[in-house]
Amino acid sequence: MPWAYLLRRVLVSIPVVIGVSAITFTLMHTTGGDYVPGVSDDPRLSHAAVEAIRHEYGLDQPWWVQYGVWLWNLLHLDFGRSMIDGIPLGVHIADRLPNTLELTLTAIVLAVVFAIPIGALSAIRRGTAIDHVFTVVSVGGYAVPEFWLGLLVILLFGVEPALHWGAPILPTSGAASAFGGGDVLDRFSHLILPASVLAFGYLSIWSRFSRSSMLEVLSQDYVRTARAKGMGERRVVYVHALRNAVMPLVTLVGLELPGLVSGGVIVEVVFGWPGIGRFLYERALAYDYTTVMGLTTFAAVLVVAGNLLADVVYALLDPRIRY
Amino acid sequence: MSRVGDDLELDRFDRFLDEWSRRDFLKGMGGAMAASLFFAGGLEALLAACGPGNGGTNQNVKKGGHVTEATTSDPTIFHPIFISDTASLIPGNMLFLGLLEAGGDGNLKPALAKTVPTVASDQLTYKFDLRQDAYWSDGKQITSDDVVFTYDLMHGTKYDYKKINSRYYPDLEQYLDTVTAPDKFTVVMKTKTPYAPFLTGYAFGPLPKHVLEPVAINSPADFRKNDYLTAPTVVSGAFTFGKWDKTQQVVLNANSKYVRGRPNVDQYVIKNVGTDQAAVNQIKTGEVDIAGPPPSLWDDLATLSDKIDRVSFVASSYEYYGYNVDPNNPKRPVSGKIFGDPQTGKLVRQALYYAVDRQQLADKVYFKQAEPAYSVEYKTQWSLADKSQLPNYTHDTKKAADLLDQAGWKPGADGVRTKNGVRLSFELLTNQGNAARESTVQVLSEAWRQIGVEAKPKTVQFTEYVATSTTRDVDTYMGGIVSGGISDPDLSQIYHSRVIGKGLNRMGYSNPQVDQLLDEGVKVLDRSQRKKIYVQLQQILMDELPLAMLLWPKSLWAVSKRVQNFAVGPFNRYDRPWIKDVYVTDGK
Repeated sequence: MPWAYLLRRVLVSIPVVIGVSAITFTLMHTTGGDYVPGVSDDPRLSHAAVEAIRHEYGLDQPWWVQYGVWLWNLLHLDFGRSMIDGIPLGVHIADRLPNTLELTLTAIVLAVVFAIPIGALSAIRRGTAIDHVFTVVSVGGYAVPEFWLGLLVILLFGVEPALHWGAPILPTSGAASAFGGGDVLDRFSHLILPASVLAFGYLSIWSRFSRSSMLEVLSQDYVRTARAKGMGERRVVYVHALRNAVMPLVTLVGLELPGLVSGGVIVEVVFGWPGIGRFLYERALAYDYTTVMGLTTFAAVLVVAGNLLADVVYALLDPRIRY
Repeated sequence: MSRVGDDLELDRFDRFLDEWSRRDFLKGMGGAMAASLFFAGGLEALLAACGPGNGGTNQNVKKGGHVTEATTSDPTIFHPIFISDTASLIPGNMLFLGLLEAGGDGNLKPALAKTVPTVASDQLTYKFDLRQDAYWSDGKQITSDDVVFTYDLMHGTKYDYKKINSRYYPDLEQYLDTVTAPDKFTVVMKTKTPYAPFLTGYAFGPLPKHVLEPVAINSPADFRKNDYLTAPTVVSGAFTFGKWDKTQQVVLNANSKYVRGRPNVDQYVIKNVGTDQAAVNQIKTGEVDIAGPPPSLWDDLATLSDKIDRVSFVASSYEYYGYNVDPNNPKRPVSGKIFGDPQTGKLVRQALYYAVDRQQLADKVYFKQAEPAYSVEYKTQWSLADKSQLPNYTHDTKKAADLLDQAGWKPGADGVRTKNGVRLSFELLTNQGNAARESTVQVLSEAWRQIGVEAKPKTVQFTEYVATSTTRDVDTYMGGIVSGGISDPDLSQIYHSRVIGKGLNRMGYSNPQVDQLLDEGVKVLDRSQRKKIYVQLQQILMDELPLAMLLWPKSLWAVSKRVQNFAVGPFNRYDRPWIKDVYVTDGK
């Protein structure tokens, strides 16, 4: 029964989410979690002022009370409030999630669109020059850190053209221009560099994966049978082999679902992209621990949901799998 | 007024950036981020900038266009009575006019008030005469009612001010008696006792009563969450609120009703670019006009002198290390007795200070973007004593060793000095993520090893550093304090014995004479009299050295040549009375 399976999976994931929140809370608490950003060590605030602010955030309560309150709020889908601005995390997430999804979905689509044909081609032309080229590029892409690649493209498309010709070829920061921005073209021009860098990282892994998966499938008996009964090579490859080769990739992409929200942290930071990842990064730097806890838990929920979704899609693609 | 003026947030942000850079992230930027906490800086460069460059007054003022300033974090809230982060101070001060403002010379200047009030003969009463030509951006006149309303939000009986929860209400409870409006353009404030830091710290500009009073009455607990505070519709400053694209940019529009006249530029954009490296890249691409580069990228920008002016000045900040000087500190009794011994503790503290070559520290660790500090006050502070009035601690290893001998600490078998079986060995704590600080503790440790002292550097997360040092579980610790605008010379939160374990007196320092001078210092309102008290305090504290001052770091700015009249200085980093005069040469 798929519904019973779904329900079981959802129930099993509750302790996972609570566990993640407990670990995060413990980590944040043991490293000075009652610190209030911008307040705790301001020489001009009196002790009374600092205490009043700590009281407001409940930081004068014992840790188990703090955690209990937090968990109770979570049950009501309240991820808490930021310790820096007091704004509910839900509002912060809603403000930034669309930007992050714009970036990561574009990158994932780009990566998938290129990874599958590249992988398939490498597998079919195994050992040829084209296979070697793709191998070198993807291993290189895997080895190159995103921040480095990001800075490099910023230099190539932003700084150097600006210094030599007076203007950057593409914008290097933000999701839209401050003025008259926000239309599709403007957003697209801002999207090109970060989405390409992010996609390149995914592409490198997924194309290798799809190559090896394709190789494996091509050596299966049913492929040989298809060929033996005289089926055209194209049909063998694109209809029989490719569909089966793509399946493991579905799991991989599903696992990237939490990455949709936080996986682009580095790219978002380097390109000043106004998304969730960068927000998490900024608030971690500012010791806004309620925000970090809320976002971590939010990400945990997405990991669980991502795995679940991957399993479901898997079942849809593979008729052998039944729950 | 940039009362909050505290870029501890920025400071922390940078430290953490560093930490990440040392993990395999943003490695290329590591050095860059090392020290952008030093937003403060050298007067000589400020003077340079006041020449033909950005700070000067130019007759060929162009109207229109926009300026984009880079920041590395988002603002949070826009009115100064709620602000506790530097990213909010810049838009906050542009949107709201203060009663008083920070003058470039470090003195308070009138803003909404016609003059800076002088205290009445009772030493308690301050009378503010308000300008009668000041209007809110919706056309309503700004009156004393607005000012009183704003203070009622923080203090008094009219609203539930504790729920409204301004950052300053506990302080105002302590110092402020009443705020009244005898007529439409006069506000009278009365303190409970004579309190010298009052005007510098607690003269706040108004919020519009006609917009916000219903919220204060009906839902005080939701006051801070009111949309007005993050998207103010009615303002008094040089600019009105345009939009805030979260984690991206705040766009401000010229306010044609600004009391000093409409600003030259049409828009002012505060763009959150995420990292210092991005800020530097974007000032090169022209995507931003103003940025605060870290010291490690300072020289890199010198090659672009045809496009960018570099401005640096020593601002209000210092780096220090502190000793546990309390022999009765239950958590650290050994170091408490070493540094807090009534007979020899001071000699040890002085010996260690003599052993440090602070000039070298400034040159090598801080990329020459800092100066050796010789006082417990900021270099910019009006009460700063003349160098000749204070003890001189020129680097002298021999003298350091002699002082330790004199204190009875004799070289032991392993090279570490001992006395009565106790080794002269202790922990030196600092926070992770600040490369400059982590290097500094190593330099200190090495310098002290030369004179037979073993200091074991320990770096912990910043929050843990604050927690550990606040509870005084430390032998010695290194940190820094940064202020944004004009600050009062009062040092009570650091050295008064009543804040041991509460404020920043993490040393456990207690000196009745210092307590008395500190108490007197905030009660005497005459500046020249006050200066005498603070000079005396500096003499005592620099002699006793519970905190040893290391450096006064600089604030660094890169300003595109197309931006003129950007007169940033030690007191005008966030509070910028001259912002309306800024213009762009190309009018774009």
